[in-house]
Amino acid sequence: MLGRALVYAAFGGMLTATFAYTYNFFSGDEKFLKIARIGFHIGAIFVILTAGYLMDLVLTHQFQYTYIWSYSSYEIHPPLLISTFYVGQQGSFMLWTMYTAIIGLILMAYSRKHHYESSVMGIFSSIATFLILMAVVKNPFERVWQTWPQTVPAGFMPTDGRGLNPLLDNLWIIIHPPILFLGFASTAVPFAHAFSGLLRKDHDNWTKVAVPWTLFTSAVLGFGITLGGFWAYETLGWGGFWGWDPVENSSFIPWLLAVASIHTLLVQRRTGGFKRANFIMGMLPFLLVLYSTFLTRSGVLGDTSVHSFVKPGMWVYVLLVIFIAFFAILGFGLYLIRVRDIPKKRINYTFSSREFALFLGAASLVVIAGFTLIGTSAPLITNILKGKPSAIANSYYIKTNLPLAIFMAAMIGLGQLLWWKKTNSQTLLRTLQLPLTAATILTVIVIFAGMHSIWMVMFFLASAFALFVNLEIGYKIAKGNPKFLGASLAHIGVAVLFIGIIASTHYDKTVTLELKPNLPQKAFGYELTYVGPHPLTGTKVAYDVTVQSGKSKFVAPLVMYHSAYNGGAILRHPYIFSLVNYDAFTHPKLLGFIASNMLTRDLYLSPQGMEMTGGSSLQSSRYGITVPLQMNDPTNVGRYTFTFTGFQVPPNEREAMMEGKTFDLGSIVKITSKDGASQTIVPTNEIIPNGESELHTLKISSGDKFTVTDVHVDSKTKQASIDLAYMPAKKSPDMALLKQAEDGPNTANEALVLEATIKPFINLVWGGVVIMVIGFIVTWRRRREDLLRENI
Amino acid sequence: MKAKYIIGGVVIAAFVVFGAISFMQNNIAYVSAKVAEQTHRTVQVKGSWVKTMKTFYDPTTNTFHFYMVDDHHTILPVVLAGAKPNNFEIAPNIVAKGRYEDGVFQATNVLTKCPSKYQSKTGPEASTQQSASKSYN
Repeated sequence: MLGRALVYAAFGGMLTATFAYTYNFFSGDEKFLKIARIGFHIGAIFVILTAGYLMDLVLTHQFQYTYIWSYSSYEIHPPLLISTFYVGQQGSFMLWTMYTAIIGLILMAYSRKHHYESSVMGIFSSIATFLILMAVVKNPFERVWQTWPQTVPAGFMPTDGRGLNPLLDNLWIIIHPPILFLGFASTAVPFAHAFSGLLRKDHDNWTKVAVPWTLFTSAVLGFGITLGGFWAYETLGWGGFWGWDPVENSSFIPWLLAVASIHTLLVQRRTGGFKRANFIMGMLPFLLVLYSTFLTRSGVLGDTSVHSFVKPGMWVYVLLVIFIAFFAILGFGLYLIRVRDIPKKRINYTFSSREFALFLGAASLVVIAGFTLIGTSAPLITNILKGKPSAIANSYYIKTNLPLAIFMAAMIGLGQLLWWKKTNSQTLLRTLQLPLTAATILTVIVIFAGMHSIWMVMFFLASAFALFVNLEIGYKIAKGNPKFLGASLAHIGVAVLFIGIIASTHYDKTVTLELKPNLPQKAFGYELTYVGPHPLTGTKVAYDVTVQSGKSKFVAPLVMYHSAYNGGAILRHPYIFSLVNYDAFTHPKLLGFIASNMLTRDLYLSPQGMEMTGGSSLQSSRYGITVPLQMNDPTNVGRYTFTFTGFQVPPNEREAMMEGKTFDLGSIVKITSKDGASQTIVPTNEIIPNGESELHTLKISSGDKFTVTDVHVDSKTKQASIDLAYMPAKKSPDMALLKQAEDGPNTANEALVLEATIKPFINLVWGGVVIMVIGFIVTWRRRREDLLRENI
Repeated sequence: MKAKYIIGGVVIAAFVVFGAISFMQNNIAYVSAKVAEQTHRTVQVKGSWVKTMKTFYDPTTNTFHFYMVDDHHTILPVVLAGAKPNNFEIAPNIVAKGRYEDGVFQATNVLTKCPSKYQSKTGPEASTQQSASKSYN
């Protein structure tokens, strides 16, 4: 019961801090400030101790705890073992809570220095309190016999845990969630500052104290989201890095809002405008983190997503609703009370001012967040409107967000060229010339290279323009004061990211190859040869494919295996020839091979399965290819799908049949060709009582011939089946099939089926994000220095 | 000042209309297999894989053929454009997205419910280590 005691102690500490800070703020009683600090320290220390205790249980394999049993096993060793701490719901909340506690300790010193402690820490403590409440409601220290009192005897110690899903058995599970959750947890800080600004009727200074944290959130969350995308690209084998899944969207939306608020906060800093909007913008990222958590953790999305969401129980649902409602009502309520007092500063900006461009840029980010939010909430919305939840196609996100992204890219370029207040149009035209010309030339080149979609051309032009403007300005700044380089870097990163997205998601090419052993096939200028399997650890098998380009070649081990954890399912992992390929550490020459062949385009090899080919599955007789048909079971052979639906005896023959004399038996078969045309044929057999039968061949208009060569009724199941012989017409492409069938199973070969995809310039996606994140960090440092100098 | 609000209002209204239309157009309804057979729209059908019926992959067309059964016990033949999805065998539920054409459901995408988040109903069993994975089904 140690775990529970730790949780209660943490809860008590944080609750004390919440009330004591709040009381201190309103009364000014210094005694309560001391109590609050002690309370928060106790709370934070016990949160850390709780997390430490859970980690100890993880590391020592205490399978009597349901949480440990559910996600871990003796087979899992550190560092992967550490990640089993947060793969489940309770653990990920624990991680979030722990980050909140640690951030809170830093924030306490920070807000004390900037004279905001009681108001900022009061609301922040209440957030921590709610998070700890989650561990009270959904206890991570529940024992297996408490979870399953009917089936598990008290005191039972399982011999081993259930283990980790091998899909998660990956380097990225160690890196991605800790970074993402740090981003989530940090959104509470700008929220607390905005709230504190409202409380104190402090309309300007709070933004200066909050902005370094907003930049921190943007950097961490942006990096975390991209790591998730990279993980999906590298492990899951569907070839993409972003699928507009609710889980992805739910971290994307707060990030978009945090980035938008950086821009609106900058306008306030420079002009004094947006005072009201910035209170809302400061609070939104955190509220959206809460809403997203509700969407993905409460079970409301049900079965409308790829990810399955455990129904966590009613209490978690209720607590999450209260959590969102509490902070939304508190934040917006206080805003409504205070909004009249907030001075509205008239800013006289023109359409050609940087303020206006920043406003448009931030507005497009907010609208993108809004569209994405509505799409992600589609199951909720349709449930309310239609009474039945349904999801939305990814085309929705592209259709709504693409025009905005194009507009945003243009603003990223234009905004940097505009001056505060007003821009001289001649100056603008002069500075516009170089980047616009460069972008146009580059766009014309890519149009000739094959970019024909008007949307993509516009997106590319806008992104290239943004890139060149920011390169030009960044170059000038770098020569002057590199400390101010943040914005240029971040915008260069975004432009590079956009170009990478355009190239890799719209101009990728895929072929499906059936590789017979040692028979090379060409794809995208590479020669691919399947050379055979070799066993890896456990049930894992690598199917080795050599990839040759020029004289050099490398082996790509395509891993497929039956996963015992997943009930014997086949799991497949792609192999990617890309700059981010860690085999290069062990094969020094690989890096050179990739650099000379795959620098501008990844070669993505995704195994699909081992298939028998060479006619092994088909047999033939002199009547043609034998197609065994079960009743009502459509079977595809060549260009037709055959469905045997039953027998038919002409009325005048029925008597003969009953009397056991010779009669005609028709087999009704529906044949559907690939072009969709379908017809029903009834080939007949003359059944002769001595057990023989005379076969009648039926020829249809296409020249294909059909004969029923065998009729069989299972004596037990009464299930009827026939063998239909299919003789393709002379010129039919199915003649090849007949040839294969005639060759028989002797020539059967196992072939590796794989999808080979080239992903042009996908490195720009990863590179762009890295540049952008560096930009955030540079600006973060600059704002920290500003803050110290301004002495707020 | 007034002009600013009018322009702003029109822009917001335009976005709302644009968003609403896109939403309606791209909303993929969840329907039963029976309804899916009667409509030409892109729909989603939730159900499970019929393990006893024929399942095969056609490497020449890169299509995966199988049967699914929906919650109303209607069996639907499905042709997926692509190979067998990951986790296919163990997914308690699948969602096929596509259109019904030529007597089969031409799926562009089959979602398998990622089982990592499914919780055990019975908990650990006493006998062997193997029991752990058995308690899944």
